[in-house]
Amino acid sequence: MNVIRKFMLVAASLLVPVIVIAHHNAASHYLLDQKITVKGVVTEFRLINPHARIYFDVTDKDGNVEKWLGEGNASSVLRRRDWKDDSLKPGDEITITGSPARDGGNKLDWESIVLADGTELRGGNTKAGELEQQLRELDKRPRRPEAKE
Amino acid sequence: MNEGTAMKSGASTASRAVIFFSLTLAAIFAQAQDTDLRSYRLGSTASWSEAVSVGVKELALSSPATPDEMDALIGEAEEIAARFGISVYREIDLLVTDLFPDDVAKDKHVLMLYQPPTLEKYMALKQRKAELIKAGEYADKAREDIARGFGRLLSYPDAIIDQKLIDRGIKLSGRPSFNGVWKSPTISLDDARWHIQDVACRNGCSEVSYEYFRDLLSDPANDDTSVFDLYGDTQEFNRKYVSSLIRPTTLQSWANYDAANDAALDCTPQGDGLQHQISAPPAIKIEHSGDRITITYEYWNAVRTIYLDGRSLPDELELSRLGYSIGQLDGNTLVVTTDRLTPSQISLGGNKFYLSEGAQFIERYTLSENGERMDILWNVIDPVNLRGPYTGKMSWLQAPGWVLDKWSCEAITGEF
Repeated sequence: MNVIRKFMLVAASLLVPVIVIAHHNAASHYLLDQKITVKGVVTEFRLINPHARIYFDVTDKDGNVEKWLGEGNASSVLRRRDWKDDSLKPGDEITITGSPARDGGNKLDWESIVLADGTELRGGNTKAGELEQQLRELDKRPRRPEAKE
Repeated sequence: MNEGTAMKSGASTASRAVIFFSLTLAAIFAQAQDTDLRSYRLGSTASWSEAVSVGVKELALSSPATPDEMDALIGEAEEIAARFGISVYREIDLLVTDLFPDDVAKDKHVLMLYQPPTLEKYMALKQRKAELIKAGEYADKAREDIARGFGRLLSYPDAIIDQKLIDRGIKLSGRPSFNGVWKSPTISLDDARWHIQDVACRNGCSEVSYEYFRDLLSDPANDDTSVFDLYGDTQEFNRKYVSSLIRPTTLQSWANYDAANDAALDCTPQGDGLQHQISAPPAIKIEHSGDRITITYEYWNAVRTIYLDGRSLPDELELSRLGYSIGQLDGNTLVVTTDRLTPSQISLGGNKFYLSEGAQFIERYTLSENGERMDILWNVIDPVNLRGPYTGKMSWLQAPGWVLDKWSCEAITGEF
C-alpha cells in the first residue's frame, strides 16, 4: 500500500507543481490520518524552527531520483532532546514514516525514522505516534505512588 | 518584542539600564584581550561611575585586579569617580556570597563605586555575615539573605537575584519563587518527577480529563490495562466533555471545516492564540520584579507583561495576540486575567473554532511547596462559543542552569 501510495503521490507531484508558502500547523499541510513509508538517502538535515527538515533523495526501481522533504518537530524541542545539527548526515540511508502531503507533493510529516543500522529516531511533529510509544514506556513505572498529588 | 501592552516605570527602566550597562561592559571586556587592560579598567570605571551617579546602580564593582594592578590604577580611578561626584573604596576582601563564585575576587582587590551611605550598608552586611559564621548560623535563609542584601546593593532586580541563586544550585528558602527558567514535559521526558498523567497531558489537557486519567491510574482494577489504553479512555471522556461544553451552533459551524484551512503560519505568530502560547512546549522564563511579572517564551520569542499593581483591565485598547494581562499573587498562586485578545483559532478536545472578540483567559500558576513544580490551569471564558469556562492544565518544572534559546524561524518558500 505504501509503495502504491508513494507512487501516486509522486505522479501527482509531477502533474501539479506546488509552491508551499507557509508552514506551521501540520493539519493544514498533511493528511494526519494517513501514513506512508519512504526509503531514501539524506542530502541535507536542517534543525530549525518551526519544523526540522530532512531533505532526501528517493530512487525508484528505474533509477529515477526524486527529491523529498520530511518535516519534524521544532528545533526548540528537539535540541532539548539532544538532537544535533548532525543527527542526520548527508548519505545516511533512512526509512521514514509519516503523514503524506495534502497537495500530493513529495513531502511528509515524519513520525519515525529508521537508520540503516536499525536505530529508530522519533522527533516527529505528528504527536500521536510518538505519544503512543511514550505511553507504552510508562507502563513500566509504578502508578499508585504518583497517582494522587 | 512585548506583545502585551507595556507600561514604563522607574523601576523597570532602572533594571533595563543595569542590564544595558552590564552588557556594554561585557562587550567591552570581550574585546579587552586586544585592548590595554588599564585603559579598559579605567573606561569601565567611568561607565560605572556614571551609572551610580545617575542612580541606576546603588553600588558598582570594578573587575577584580591584583594588588599591583590596583596600585597603578586607583589614583586615576578616583579622579574619574570624583568627576561624577561619587566615592571610591578599595575593597581588599570582597564579601563572598552565593551570588557569585567564591573565588571571584580571591587574592584580588576591587573598587567599589558608591554614593553614601551605601558603604555603611555594605560593611554592615559584611559584619552580619561574620557574626552568622561565628554563631554557626550562616546557612539556609540567613545565608540567602546575605546574598540578597548584596544583590540589592548592586541594584539587581529580585528576579535576577533569584535566577543567579537558582543557577548556582541554591535552593531558595521561604516562599517559593516563580523566577527562573521552566521546562515542560515534552522537552524533559526523562525527568522522573513527571507523573504519568503529566507526560500524557504534556501539551495540555482539560483539567477534568487530567483528573479522570489520574483516577483511572490510581484504581487497582485498572492495573492490567495499559497506560496507553487508559489514555484512550480518557480521550474519549474528554471528547464528550468538550462536546457538551461547546455550543451547538459553534460545533455545527465547524462540522464541515476542512483542516486544510487551519492557520498556517509563515514564521509569524499572528493567528497563534494565547492557549497555544501558554501550552507550547519550548522553555519559558519568569521574572517577578516589583509590581509586574514578565513571562518570556522561547516559542515565538514572545514576551508577556503581567501587571500586579492593582490596575483594572482597560476598556479602550487595541486587540492583540496575547492581550492585556493583570494579575494577583495569592500565596503560592499567581492569578492572571487576560482580555483584549485578537480572536484566534483554538482547539479544545479536537474541536476547532475561533474565539469571540470578548473571550477572556484566567490563568492560575501554582507553585509546589518546594518551588520545583508549577501547575498551570487556564480558564477559557467565551460565552459566545462555550456554555461555561473550559479549564486546561499542564505543568512545568524548574530548570536550573537553562537559558532560553532564541526562536529562529525559517519559512519554507517555493520548495517542492
